[in-house]
Amino acid sequence: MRHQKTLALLLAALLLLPIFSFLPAEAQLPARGPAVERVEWFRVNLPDVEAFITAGRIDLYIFGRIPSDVAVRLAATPGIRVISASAGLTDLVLNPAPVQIVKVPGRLDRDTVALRLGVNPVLIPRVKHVIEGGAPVTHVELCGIVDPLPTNFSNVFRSDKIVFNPFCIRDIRFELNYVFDRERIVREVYRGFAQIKYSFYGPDDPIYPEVADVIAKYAFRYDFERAKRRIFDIMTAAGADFQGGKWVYRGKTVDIIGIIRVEDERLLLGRAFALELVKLGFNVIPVELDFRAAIDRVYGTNPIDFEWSFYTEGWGKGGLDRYDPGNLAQFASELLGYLPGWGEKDFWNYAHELTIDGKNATAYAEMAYLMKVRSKEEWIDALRKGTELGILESIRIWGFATQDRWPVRADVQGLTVDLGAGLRSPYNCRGWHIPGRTDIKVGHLWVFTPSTAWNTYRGFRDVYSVDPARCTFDFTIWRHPFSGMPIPFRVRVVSVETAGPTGTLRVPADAIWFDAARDRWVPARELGRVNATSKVVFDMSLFLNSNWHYGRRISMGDFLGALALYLDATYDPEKARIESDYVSVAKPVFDTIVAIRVSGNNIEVFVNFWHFDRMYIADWAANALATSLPFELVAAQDFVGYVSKERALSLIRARAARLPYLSLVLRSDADLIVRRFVEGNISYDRYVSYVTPPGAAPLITREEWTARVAAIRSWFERTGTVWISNGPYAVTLYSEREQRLILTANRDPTYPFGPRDWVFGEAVPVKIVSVDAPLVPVPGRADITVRVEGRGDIEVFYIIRDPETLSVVASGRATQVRAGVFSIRLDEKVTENLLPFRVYEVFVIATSGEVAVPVESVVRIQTLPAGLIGQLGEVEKSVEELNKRLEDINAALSRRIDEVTARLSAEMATSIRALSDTLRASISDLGRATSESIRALGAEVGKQIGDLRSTTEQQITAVESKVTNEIGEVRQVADAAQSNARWALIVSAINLLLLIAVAALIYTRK
Amino acid sequence: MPLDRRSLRIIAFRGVTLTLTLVVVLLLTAIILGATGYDEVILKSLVSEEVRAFRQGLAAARVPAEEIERLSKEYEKQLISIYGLDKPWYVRTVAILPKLVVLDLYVSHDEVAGVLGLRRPLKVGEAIAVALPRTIIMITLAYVVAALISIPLGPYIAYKRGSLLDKGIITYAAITNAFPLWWLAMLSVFLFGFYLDVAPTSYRPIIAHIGTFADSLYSLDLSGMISALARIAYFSYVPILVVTFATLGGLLYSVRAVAIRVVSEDYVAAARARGLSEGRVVRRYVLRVIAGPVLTFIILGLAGSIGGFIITESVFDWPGMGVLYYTALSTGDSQMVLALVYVTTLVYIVARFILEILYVVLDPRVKL
Repeated sequence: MRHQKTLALLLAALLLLPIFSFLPAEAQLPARGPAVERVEWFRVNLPDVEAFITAGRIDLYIFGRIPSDVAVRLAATPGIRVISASAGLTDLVLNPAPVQIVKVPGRLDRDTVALRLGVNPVLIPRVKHVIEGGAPVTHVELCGIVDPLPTNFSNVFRSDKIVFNPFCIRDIRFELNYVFDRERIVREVYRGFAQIKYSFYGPDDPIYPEVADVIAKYAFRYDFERAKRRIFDIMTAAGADFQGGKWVYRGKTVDIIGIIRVEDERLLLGRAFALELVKLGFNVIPVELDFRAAIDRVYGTNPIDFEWSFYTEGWGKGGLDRYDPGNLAQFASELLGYLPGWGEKDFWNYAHELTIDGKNATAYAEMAYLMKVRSKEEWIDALRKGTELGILESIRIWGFATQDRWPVRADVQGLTVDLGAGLRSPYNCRGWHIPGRTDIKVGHLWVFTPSTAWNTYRGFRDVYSVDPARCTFDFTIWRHPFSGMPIPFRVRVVSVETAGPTGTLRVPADAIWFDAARDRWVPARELGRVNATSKVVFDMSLFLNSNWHYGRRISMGDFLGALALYLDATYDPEKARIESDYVSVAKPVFDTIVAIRVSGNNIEVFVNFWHFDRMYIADWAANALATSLPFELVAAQDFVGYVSKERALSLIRARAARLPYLSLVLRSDADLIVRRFVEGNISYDRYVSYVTPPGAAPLITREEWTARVAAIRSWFERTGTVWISNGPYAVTLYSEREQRLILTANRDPTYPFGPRDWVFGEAVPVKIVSVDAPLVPVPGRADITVRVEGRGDIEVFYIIRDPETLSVVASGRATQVRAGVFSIRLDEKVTENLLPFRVYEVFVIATSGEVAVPVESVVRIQTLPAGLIGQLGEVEKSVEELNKRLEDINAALSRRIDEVTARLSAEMATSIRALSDTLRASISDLGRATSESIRALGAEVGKQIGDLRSTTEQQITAVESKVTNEIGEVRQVADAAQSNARWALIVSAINLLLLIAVAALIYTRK
Repeated sequence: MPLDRRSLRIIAFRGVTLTLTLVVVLLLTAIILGATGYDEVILKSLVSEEVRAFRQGLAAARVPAEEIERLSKEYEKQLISIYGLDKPWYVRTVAILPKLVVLDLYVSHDEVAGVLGLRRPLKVGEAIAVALPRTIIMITLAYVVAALISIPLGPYIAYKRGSLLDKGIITYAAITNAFPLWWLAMLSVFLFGFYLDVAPTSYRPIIAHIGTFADSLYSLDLSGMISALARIAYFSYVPILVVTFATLGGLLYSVRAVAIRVVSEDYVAAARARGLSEGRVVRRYVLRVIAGPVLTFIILGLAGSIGGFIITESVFDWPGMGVLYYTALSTGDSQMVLALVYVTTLVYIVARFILEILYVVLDPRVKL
C-alpha cells in the first residue's frame, strides 16, 4: 500500500513536471517596473508590416490601420495573432439642402404655402418666419425648383446646378437606410473587421443597452423593394416623373453627386451605395477623391452649392467611455457644428425638422453633453430622445463601427486587450513580454513627424508621441480597459463629496489657489473662491514615496508647481496671448476647478463639476494633478516657451512664429534646456513662488533644485533627452533621423508597480448561452428564460419588436432568477399589447459591470390567444395520452412483428434450402448439357479450322514457288548485268591508262 | 589652352541664354502654381482640415459652443495668414522669386519637413541640403559606377559587334529596361534583407549615419568618419547595386550605339589594317571620337539623377530628392516646389554650360 502511494506520488510529479517547466519563465519577471528591460520602437511602413512580423523583425505593430486583407492573412499565419478593437465609425452623410428658397410676405404655414405654390407639401421641408423691414415674412425652402412663382413670391436663392434634391426630403433620406446593405459590406468589404450600426450608438458603445430599444425600432434590413416603392410614391408626389428607369424633374435628370473616399474600404462601400441609387433611378455622378480633396469639397463648400450629395464619412473613436454623450453631440446636433452647413455663418445650415416633447436633437445633446440634467435618468432620457431624432432625421446613414487591427506575435504575453484602445492601451507596455527574452520590438508607422512633440503644454498631439510616452509616466486616473469606467491608477481616491447638480459645498479657509496676476499662491477665498459643487480627496502617496527617473524623490512641490505654471499660462494675459492654443483647451477645464488643499500626502480638489457617477467627478478633478514631469522641467518649458521665446509649445505657435515645436526628447531642445539651466536663466529664484504655499516654506528647496539640475545634466549626457518622468520606462534613446527610440525599464526599488499589476488579459464578454421562448398567451403571462455566462454583475435587457411594423411593443430589464439565469416576465400588461397568431422578435442584450461592451441575441416568439393556449393545454394532455397509447401499441406491434419475423424466417430458411437443392440439380444438368454441346461445337470448329489451314498452306506453297521462280529469273538478269558492268569497268580502266599514256607522251615531248 | 575672344563671346552668349532659360522656367513654374489655383486649393483644404481638428479638440474639452465658434474663427484666421491665403497668388509665388535665388524661403508644410525627418521652421535650402546627399549616395553614385563600367565596355562591345558578349549585353539591356527599378528594389529588399539576411530591411537609419559622418567631418574625427562610412556602406550597398544594375544596361547600349557608327568608319578600318592592337584602336580611334557625345549624355544624366527616383526612394524608405519633390507637389508647398525646380534646373544648366565650354574648347567646329 505504501509503495503504491509512493508510486502514485512519483507519477503525479512526473505529470506535473511540464507545468513546472513553465514557471521559472514567469518567476523570472522582475518585482518592480515593467516585464522587459528594453522596448525598441522603430518605423515600419504599412506595406512592410507583413514581412517584418513574419520574419520576426518586430514583435508587434502598434499602428492599427493595416489593411483588412493583410490582417486576415496574418491572422491565419501560425505564430501570429491579430488583436482588434472598435476604433472608428463609418457613415454616409447626406446633403439635405434645398434647391430653391423663396419668400412671401406674411406668416404662412407649410400647407398654405404649398397650396399657394401649387406643390405637394412634401416638396417643402421647412418654412421659417422672419421679420424683414418690420413686417413678417415667410421663407420657404423647396426641394425642387418651382417656376414660375405665383404673385408675391420672390426668390431668395435658386440653384443653377440641380433642379431637384431628393435628399432634401426627410422621408427619402430615411428610406435610404434600407438600400445600404450593411451585412454584405461587413462580410465582403470589411472581411469581418466591422460591426453594423444603425445609429451613432451601437453594440460597440457601453451606453448601448440604454438606447437599444430606441435603435431596435430602426434595425434596418436591406430591403430594396420597400425603399423603391416608398421613394417612388414620394418622388411622384413631389412632382418628379419616372421615365425609362430614370427620375426626371422639369425635363432634367435628378442628379446625385457622390463623394467617395479612395483610401480605404469606403471606396467599395461608396460604390455599392451609388449603385443602389442608380437602381432607384437617380443619375449618380460618383467622384472618387482622397482625404484632402474630399474634405475640401464637402466641408469647405456651402451645401446649397451642391458640390456633393453624399459623402462616405469616417471617424476615429476615442477610448472606451462608459457614459459618453459625444456621439449625440457630434453627429446629430448643431452643438459642435457637424451638421451640413458645419455651423459656418455664411453657409446654409441644416435646421432640425423634428422634435420629441417639444425639444429637438440639439436641445437633448446640450442636456447630455453639458450635463444640464439633474439625474442619471434625465441624462439617459435625453440621450434616448436625441438618438431617436438623429435616426429619424437621417442626415447620416449609419453603417459600421470599424475595427483597428494589430498583429502581434502569438508568444507575446502580459497583454491587455483593451476594448477601446486595443493594443495601444497604456496597460500593455507595462506587462508585455516574451518568455526567454528581455526585450520587445515595436513597429509603428512613424516615431517622429514634425507634428510630434513631447511637451506637456500642447505637445502629444499624435499617436507617435502619445503611444511611447504613455509607457514613461503613470496616470492619476485612467479608464478600465473593459468597462470604460474611470479607475484610480497611481492615486487613491479617498473620497468624493458632491452637492450637485444644484447645491454647493463651502471651500475651507485654508484652501489655496494660484493668483496669476501676482504669480503666487494665495488663500482661495482671497480670490472669491468660496463655493464649489464637489470635492475630491486624492491620496498621492504612490507618487510621493517614489523617485523620478533621474533618482530624485517626487515632491508635493512638483504637483503644486506644475499646476501653478499651467494656471499662469492660462490666466496670465501675456502668456495667454503667446500660446492661445493652450489656453483654448486648458481654460474650460481650469475654469471649473475652484481650489486645492494640501493635507499630508493628500490633495483635496474643489470643482464646479457634477456627474451622476462619482468616479467621473474624481476623473474631472484629477485635471488639477499634473504628474508627468518634475517641476523644474515644467519650469524649463515655461522659460523657453514664454520667457526666452526660443521654442513654441503648440503647433500653431510654431507655425505662426516660425519657432521649433518644443520636444523634450530631441537632442537639440534638450541641449537648449540644459544650457539655460547651466547659464542660470532657468533659476530657482525665478520659479520659487510657484512652489511656495501662502505663509509656508517652499516645497522644493534651493539645494534640491541644484541637485535636480545636476541630475538633469547627467541624464542628458547619458541619453540625449530631458524627458524625465516617473513611469515604468525611461526614454534612453530618441533618434528622429533613424525613426527609432529605446525605452529602458525603470527598476528603481521605490517604483510602486510590478509587471503583473496592470495586466488585465482579455475581456471575457458576457455570453448568452440560450434563450428559451415559450408560446405566449395573449393576454396572459409567459416567462422567457435567458441563460448567460460571464463575470461581474450581469444585467440582461430585452426588447420585443413587431418585425412587420418595427414597433417596439415592450422593453425592460430581465429579473435574475439565480446565478446565470434570468427571466423575462411577460405579464398581462405586456401581452395585451401583442396580437395573437403573430411572431415577435425578442432582442436580448446582456452586459456586465466588468465588460461594458454588450452582447445581443435575437429570438422569435409565437403568440396565441389565451383561450387557445388553455385548449392547447388540453390538446397537449390528449396528445400525451395518445402518445402513451401509441407507445403501447408500438410495443405490442413490435412484439407481434418479432414473432412473425421469426416464423417467416424459419419458413424462408426451409424454402430457401429446398430451392437451393432444386437449383443445384438444375445447374448440374445444365452444366452437363452445356459441356456436351461445347464439346460437339469444338469438334466441328476444329474440323473447319483444319480444312482452312490445309487450303491456306496449299495456297502459300503455290505463291512461294512462284516467287522463287521469279527471284531466280531476276537473279539471272542481275548476274548478266553484273558481268556486263565488270567488262565495262575493265574497258574504262584501259581507256584511262591509254589517256594517261597519251598525256605523258605529249608532256615529255614539250 | 587660352580661349580667343570669339570663343569667349560664344561661351558668354551660351551663359546668358541658359540663365534666361532658368528665369523663364522659374517664372512659368510660379505662374502655373499660382495662377491655376493649384496651391490655393490644397492650402484651403489644409486650413479647413486643421480647423475641423481644432474644433474637435475643443469639443472634446467641452468648450461651450459659442466659444468653439469664436476660437475656431480665430484659428482659421491665423492659418490663413500663415499659409499666405490672405495674399494674392502672385505675391505668394512670383514675388518670392528673388528670395528663391538664395534659397531664403521656408518649407510651409509639416509633411515636407517630416519626410526628411526634420521639423519646421526649415529653410528650403536646408531641406535640399539634407535630401541631396541621400540621392547622390544612392542614385548619382550608382549612375557614376554604371558610367565608369559602360565607357570602356560600350566601345569594346561595339568593336566586337555580333559577338556572344555583344548579344548578351543587348539582352541584359532589354531585360533591365523592361523591369521597373522599384520592382527590382522590392525584390532586393526581400532577397538580401529578409531571405539572405545580409543587408538591412529598413534603410532609413542611413540618414542618421550620413548625419554622423557630416558631424565627424566637421569635427575632424577620423575614427568617427570611418565608423560612419562603414555604416553608410552597409546601408547603401544594396541600393547602389540595384540602381547600378538597372541603369547599366541602358547606358551600355547607348554607348555601344554611339560607338558602332565610329567603329564602321574607314579610319578605324585603316587603323586596324595598319596592324595596330585592338586595345589601341579602341582607345585612340574609337573612344576619343565618341567622348563628346558620351560625355554629353553622361553629364546630363548625372545632372538629372539628382532629381531622385520617387518610388525607389520610397521602397528603400530613403527619402531623398524624389520623395521631397513628390511630397512638396502633393501638399501644395509651392515654395519648396519652386526651390526644387530651381535647384534641379540650375544643376542641369550648369552641366550644360560646362559642356558648352568643353565643346568650344575641344571642337573647333562649334566656333563656326
